[in-house]
Amino acid sequence: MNPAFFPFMTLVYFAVLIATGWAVLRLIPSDEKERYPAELWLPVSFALGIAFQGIVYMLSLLILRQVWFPIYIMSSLVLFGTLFYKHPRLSFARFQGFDLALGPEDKQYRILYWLAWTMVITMVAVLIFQALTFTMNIYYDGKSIWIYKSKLLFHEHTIFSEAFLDPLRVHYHRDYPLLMPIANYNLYNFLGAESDDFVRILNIVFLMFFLLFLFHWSARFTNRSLATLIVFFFAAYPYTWYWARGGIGITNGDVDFPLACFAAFSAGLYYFYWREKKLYYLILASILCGLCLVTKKEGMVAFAVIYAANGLKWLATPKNQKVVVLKHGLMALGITILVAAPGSILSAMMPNLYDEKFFDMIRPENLDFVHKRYPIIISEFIGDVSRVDKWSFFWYFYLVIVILSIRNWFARGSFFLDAIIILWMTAYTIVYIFTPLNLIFHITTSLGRLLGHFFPIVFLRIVLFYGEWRTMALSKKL
Amino acid sequence: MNLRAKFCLFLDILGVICGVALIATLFSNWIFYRWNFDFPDRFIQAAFIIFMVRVLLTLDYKKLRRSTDFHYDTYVIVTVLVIGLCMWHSLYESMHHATRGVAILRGSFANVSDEVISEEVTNLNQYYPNYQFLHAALREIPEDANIALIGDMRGHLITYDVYPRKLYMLEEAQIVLNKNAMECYAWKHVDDPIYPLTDPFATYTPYEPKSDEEVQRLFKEMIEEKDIDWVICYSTIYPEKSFFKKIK
Repeated sequence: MNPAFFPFMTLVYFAVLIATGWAVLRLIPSDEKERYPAELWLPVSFALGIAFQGIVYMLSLLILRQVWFPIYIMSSLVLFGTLFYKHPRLSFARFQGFDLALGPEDKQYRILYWLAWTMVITMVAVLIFQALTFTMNIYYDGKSIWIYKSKLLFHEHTIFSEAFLDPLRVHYHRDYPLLMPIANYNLYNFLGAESDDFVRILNIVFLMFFLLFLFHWSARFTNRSLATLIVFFFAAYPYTWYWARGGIGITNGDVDFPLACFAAFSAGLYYFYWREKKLYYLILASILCGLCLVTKKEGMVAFAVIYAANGLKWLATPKNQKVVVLKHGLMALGITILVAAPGSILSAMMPNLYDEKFFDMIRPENLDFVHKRYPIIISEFIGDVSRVDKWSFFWYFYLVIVILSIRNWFARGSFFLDAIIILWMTAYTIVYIFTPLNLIFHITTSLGRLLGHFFPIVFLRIVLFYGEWRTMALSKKL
Repeated sequence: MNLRAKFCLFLDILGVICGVALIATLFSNWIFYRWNFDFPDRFIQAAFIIFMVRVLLTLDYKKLRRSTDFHYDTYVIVTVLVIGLCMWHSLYESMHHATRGVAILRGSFANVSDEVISEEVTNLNQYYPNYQFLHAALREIPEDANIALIGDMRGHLITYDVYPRKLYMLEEAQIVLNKNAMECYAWKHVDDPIYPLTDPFATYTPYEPKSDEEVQRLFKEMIEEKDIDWVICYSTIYPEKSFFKKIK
C-alpha cells in the first residue's frame, strides 16, 4: 500500500477496533433504563476491541496454528451481524454521546472549561506528532520482546515456527503474552506493511481513552468543570508526557502502559459494581481484568490483587448479601479466566529458556538473608517516589489520604482501591526481596515502570478523595 | 485570614518564584540555544503542582472563592502560560526531527534523508553502543543470510533489526553470556558510587560455564546444522572487539 494512505488506514484500524468493541459491549445486557455517556463506553469499547481481536487471533493460533487477517474481518462481520438482534436489555439507547454542556453552577467556568479541553486535545495531537516523528526505537523491551513478536507474526503468520520454538534462534522471552503484539500485528495488516511509526500511536490512543475514563470518573464525584480541570491537570503534567511518550510508554509496542490502563479500567469498574451492585459493571471489569493477564506477566499480579481486594470487600459485605455477591464473584472469576485462557495456553506452549526462576529463590536457607535487602528496597523506593521529575507528590498525597481515611477504613467504598494499591505494592516488594538478579540492577531498571502499573489507580483514588472532601466541605459551607 | 487562605498565599508566593525561574530558564536556554530538558522540567513540574493545587483548592462555588480572595483570571492566564511553554518546549523537541516529520505528513517515508537516518543511528549509538557497527554490518549482510551471533546481553536487541536474516546463538552461550553480561554490568560499575556492589544476596541463577573446547565444538555443530554463513561478534562491554565476517 502507498504510505500516503497509512494515516487514513490507521484511523480505519482504530474505528474498526472501537466498533467491534462497541458491538461486544452491546451484547452485555443491562437495565433498559440505564444510560452510559460516551466518556465511559468509548474507552471500554476500545479495550473490548483490543480483547476481541486478541481472542480471535489467539483462538486462530490455537485451532488453526496460524493467524490470518480475513479471519478477523469475517469474525468482525459476524459480530456486527449481532447488531440486528434486538432486545430491550440490549438497547442501543443506552449509549449516549458526549454531554459537554455545563450545568448552571458551572457556567462561570466556561472559559476555563473549553480552554482545558482545547489544551488536552492539543496535547494528544502533539503526542501523536511526536510519536510519528520520534527517532528510531530505542527502548529495549519494546523492541526486543514485543514489537519483534509482531514482526514475526506479520511475516510468518504463526508462533509455531523456528523463531519461537528453536532454542538456537535468538528470541528472548518467547513465552510472553501476545495481546499487544497481536494489536500491533493487526495494525500492520490494515497498513499492509510493518510501520514502527504508526504502531507508536497505539500507546497515545490508550492515554487518550484513559483521559476520557478519568473524566467520567472525576465527573461522577465532582462536576464537569472540575473533572475537566483534573483531566487537564493529569494530561498536562510533565511526567505524563514522558510516561506516555518515551520513558515508559511510547516506543514500539511496549506494554506497560496498556497494562496500567486495563488495570485502572478494571479497578474503576469493579468500584462502580461495589457502589451500585450492577452486574453490567462486574462483567466489564472481569473482562478487563482478564486482559491484564494476557498483556504482560505482571498482569498476574494485577489479577491476583484485584481479586484479593474483591475478596476483602466481600468479607465486609452485609450477611444477607453475602451469597448473592459470592455468586457474582464466582461468575466474574469465570469470565476473567475465560478471557485469559487462550492467551495463557499459548504462552504455556512456548519454551521459557532464559527467565530467572523467582519462585526457586523462596527457599528456607534464603530467608536468613532477605532482611539485608530491605534497606536497599526502601531507599530505592523512597528515592523513586520523591523524584520531582516523576509522580513525586502524588505518592505523598496518597499516603496522607490513607492516613486521613484510616477511620472506618474497611467500611469505606474507597477501601477497595486502597486494598489494590497496597497489595500491589506489597507484591512487587516481595518480587524484589526474592529476585535472583543483582538487586541494584533489577530495581534501578524496573521500579519506575512497575510503580507506573498501578499509578493510574492511585490517581483515581486521589480524585475520589478530593470528590468526597469537596462534598463534605460544601455541605458545611453552603 | 483563615488557614486555607494562608496556605493559598504561601502557594502563590512559591508558584511565582517557580514560574519566574521557569520562564528565566526557558528563555536563557532559548537565547543561548542550549537545551537541557531536565533543568526546566523540574521547574515546570514544581510550578504545575503548585498552580494546580492552588486552583483545585479554591476553584469552587462563589462562597468558597470569596473566602480565599481567589483571583480566577490571573490563575487561568498563568496556568495557560505555563502549559503553553511546556507544550512549546515539547513541540520544539519534535521539530528537531522536522525533516522526518514533514516526510511522514506527506505520506512518504522515502523522503527521509540519509543525514536524518545517520543522525538517528548516532543518537541510538549513545544508548546502545555498537549500533552504528550493526547498521554497517546489516548493509553488507544479505537478507537471506543465516547469522551466528557471539555477543553479550544487549545482543538480543538486534534481533529486531536483523530480521528477516536468521540470527542464531548457542543456547548455552545465550544463558552463559546473559549471566556473564549481568555480572559484567555490575563489574563495569564497580567503581561507580551509583552502582555499588552492595547486594548481600547476589545468588544468581546457577550455571556451569563450559570449557572453551566444549563451546567451540557446539559452535561448529551449530554452524553445520543451521547452515550459518555469517558471524557477528557484538559486544557492548568491549565495543572495540566487535566484528562481522562471512564464513562461507
